[in-house]
Formats: sequence, structure tokens, C-alpha cells
Amino acid sequence: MDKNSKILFFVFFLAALAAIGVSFYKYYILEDFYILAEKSCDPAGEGCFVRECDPSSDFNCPKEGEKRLVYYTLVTKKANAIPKCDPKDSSCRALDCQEGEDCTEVFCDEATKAEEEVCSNPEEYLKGLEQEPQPENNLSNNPQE
Amino acid sequence: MDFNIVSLSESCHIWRETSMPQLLYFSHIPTAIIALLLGIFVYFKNKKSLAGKILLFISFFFFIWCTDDLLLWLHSDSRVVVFFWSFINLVELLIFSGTLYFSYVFLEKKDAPFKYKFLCLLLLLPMVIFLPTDINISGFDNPLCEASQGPLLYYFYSVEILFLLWSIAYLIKKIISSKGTEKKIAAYLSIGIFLFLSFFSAASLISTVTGDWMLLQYGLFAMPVFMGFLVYLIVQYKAFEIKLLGAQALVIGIIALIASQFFFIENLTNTVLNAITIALVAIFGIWLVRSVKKEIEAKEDLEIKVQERTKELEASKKVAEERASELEKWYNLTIGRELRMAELKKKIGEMEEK
Repeated sequence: MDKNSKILFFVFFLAALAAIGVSFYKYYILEDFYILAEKSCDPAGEGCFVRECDPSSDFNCPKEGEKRLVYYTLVTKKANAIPKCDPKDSSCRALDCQEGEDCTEVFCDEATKAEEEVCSNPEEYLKGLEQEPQPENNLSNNPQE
Repeated sequence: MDFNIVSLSESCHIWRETSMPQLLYFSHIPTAIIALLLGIFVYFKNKKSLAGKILLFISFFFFIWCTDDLLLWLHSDSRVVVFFWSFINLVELLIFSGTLYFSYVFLEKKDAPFKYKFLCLLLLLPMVIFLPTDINISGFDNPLCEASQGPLLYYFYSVEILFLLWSIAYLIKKIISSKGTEKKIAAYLSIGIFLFLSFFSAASLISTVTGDWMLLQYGLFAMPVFMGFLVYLIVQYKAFEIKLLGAQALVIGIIALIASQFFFIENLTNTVLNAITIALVAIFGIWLVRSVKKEIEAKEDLEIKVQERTKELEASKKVAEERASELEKWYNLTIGRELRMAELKKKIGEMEEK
């Protein structure tokens, strides 16, 4: 291999190593990247994204069909601004967006939802809750249980 | 377990527990190790060979790619996932460009012109420049447990397809232009390279488009196929000027295949049985290779002796021919003289009678 090629390869691989080093510093040390996460949402008060969880691929998913609906909003927040606490803990405000913070919370509406996504409607949700039969009736009506 | 979104994502944990591919270890670990061992073997057998050095480069980066991808499957830390995801595409392009460079050097038996090397690195440069930026990785998608990739992804696939087409075009041209053994070598190498690059690239592309990362693991099986073609070239055509017996290559291949079963065996009985099988195959393999070696050495000895004897016979023949030629000259000289004298005597007799 000629001298020019050796110099070319040396410079290139040095630059590649430097870029990987910067990437490690940025992503691992500074945690300077955005995390997109689902934050639980109250369907009675806000327009939430709705999906049905699958118990075969999510061991947190309840077996009862009615409880499988998950209501959520989408939060995008810098990783270094997210406290390292369990989001299930009520005192953990990991995905709350404070004022002036580089953070966005997206609620579900016609503008934000994708084609296959479903939004909850607070009015319909409340109406449904009012019409929902008592748990005793519910159990007796369900042949599977 | 205390989960948190940044360093121990519950989504990643659930996803890994329920959706991890069964062949994950089998597709990544044995293929990476086999490729690396072959690269090291070829390099140390012929340290001066540039093609050997490039093969080591390819197998080393393939090993890095497999390790990187394995970590992406196994980690629940968003920082680790984002960091390792940030350079996996660059490593993939280094494998593709390295394979193109390897085919040229291996078939032409000389280094590639500087302008082509410069062009290849120029194509790779944006991947390096934008590696730690949002153009490459725009964030981490916690529900899917994967990095969100930026517009650099489109550039990456364009360059990968370009390298693939460039390699195919060069290899086809080489097959057409070469003759005899060279043509056969070019054809075998082309099949190996085509299968490797196209399967690896297609698996990666389809996985990204469909979001089904399970497919990615099947693309890795093309690497041992490429290595298999290289071993065939080494055994059959003494590529890299390495003397390797077919029996040696086959025994190593069988041991590697049996050893790779450790990466999907899940119970102790099968692990023990597999270990015993490897030990037995290794013992019988060594025995087989030794006897084949002895036979080949005996054959080579015999060939050397035959060659020496042939040389001796040729030398004797030459001497005999020289002697025969001398005798012929002597015969011509002496017999010719006698005949001449007889003629003269006859003439003298005739003259005396007159």
C-alpha cells in the first residue's frame, strides 16, 4: 500500500474514532438526547391516545378484556432532565413537563393522531362510565368468567 | 426491579422478555467468531498479503457489528442503546466497502488505485461527520425500545446499495474478462460475496422498513456462507498461498457447527451431550487429519522421488545420447576410412592388372 493511502486511512479512522468518542460523551455521559415515552393520561379530562395491550407480549397487561385499554399521551423530553425514578411511583414526576423546560406533551386529537391511532373523548368516556353496569352484573353477564 | 425511563426501561425489559428472537445468540455469536477466526488465520498464515489484511479488517468489523447488535437487543439502558445505535450503520458500510476493496485486491492481485479508495472514504465521510448529531439519531423511542433514526438513514441505505451494485458490476466484469482457473476463482468469490452482501443488506433494509428486527438475524447467516467459499478457494486453489487440507477445513467446520449449538441449547443434558460430541469429533478429527496428512506427505515424498529419478534418468539418457553420437562419429570416421581404403585398394588392383 502506498504512503498516500496509508495517510488517507489513518486520517479517516482517526476521525471515525473521534466521532464515536463524541457520541459516547454526548449520549452516555451528558445524556443529551430526547426520549419519547408514553405518559398515563386521564381519559375523563383530556384527549388521550388509546390502545389495547396484549397480555401475551406484556406481562403488565391485565387478563380482563375491559381493563386492557391503555390511555396515554406522548411526552418528548431530554434524557438528562428525566429523574431516574420509577414512573409507576406516584411521587415520581419523570415525565412531567415543567414551564420553560425543553419538553413537549402531545395529547391525542385529529391533528396529532396517525391513521391507525384512536383518541379518547372525555365526554363519551364519562357517558360510558355512567352507563357501565355494576361489577356484580358485569361478572354474571360474562360467560367466560 | 426498580425501573426508570433512562437507565432501566421497563418497556425494553418487557419487550426483551416476551419478544426476543430464539436464534439471537446462534445467529450472532458463532458467525462472528467463525469470521474473526478465519480472518486471523489467513492474516497470520500470510502476513504480507494485502488481501489477507483486508479480510481481517472485514471479519473484525463484522465481529464489532454482531457485538453491537447483540448489545442493542439485550440492553434496557436508553443511553447504551442510543450510543451503540449511533455507529452501527457506519460499521455496516465499512464491511461493505471493505468487501468491495477485498474483491479487487484478491482478484487483481494488486492494490486498488488511490482515486477509488479516496472515493469510497468520501462516500463514508458524511456518516462520520454526522454520527454524533440529531441527523443520525434523533432520540430514543421508549415504547419500541429503539433509537429514532434521522435523515442520515436514507443516505446510509443509498450508499450501501451503491456499494452492493458496484461490487456486483465489478465481479461480473471480472468473470467475463478472465479465463481458465482465474474465471473459476472469480466466479466462486462472486457467488460468496453476492450472497453475503445481498442477504445482509436485504435483511437490514427490510427490518428497517417493516420494523420487524427479527429478520435482521437471518441476514447474518450469509457471512459463514461467504467464509465457506473463501475456504474452498484456499483448499482448491491455494488462495492467499495457504496450504490447507480439505480434511482440516471440513473437521474445523464440523466442530464450529456443533459448537454453535451451545447458543440455542437450553437444558443441561443437551449441553453435556453436545460437549461430549464436540470432544469426540475433535479427537476423531485430529486422528483423521493426521492420517490424511501422512498419506499426503507419503504421496508428496513419492512424487519427489519420482521427480528425482526422472531427472537422473534424463541425465543418463543425455549421457547415453552423447556417447551414441560420439560412437556414430567414430563409426563414420573409422568405417568410412576402411571403405575408402578398400575402394583405393580395389582401384590399385585394377590399375596393376592393366
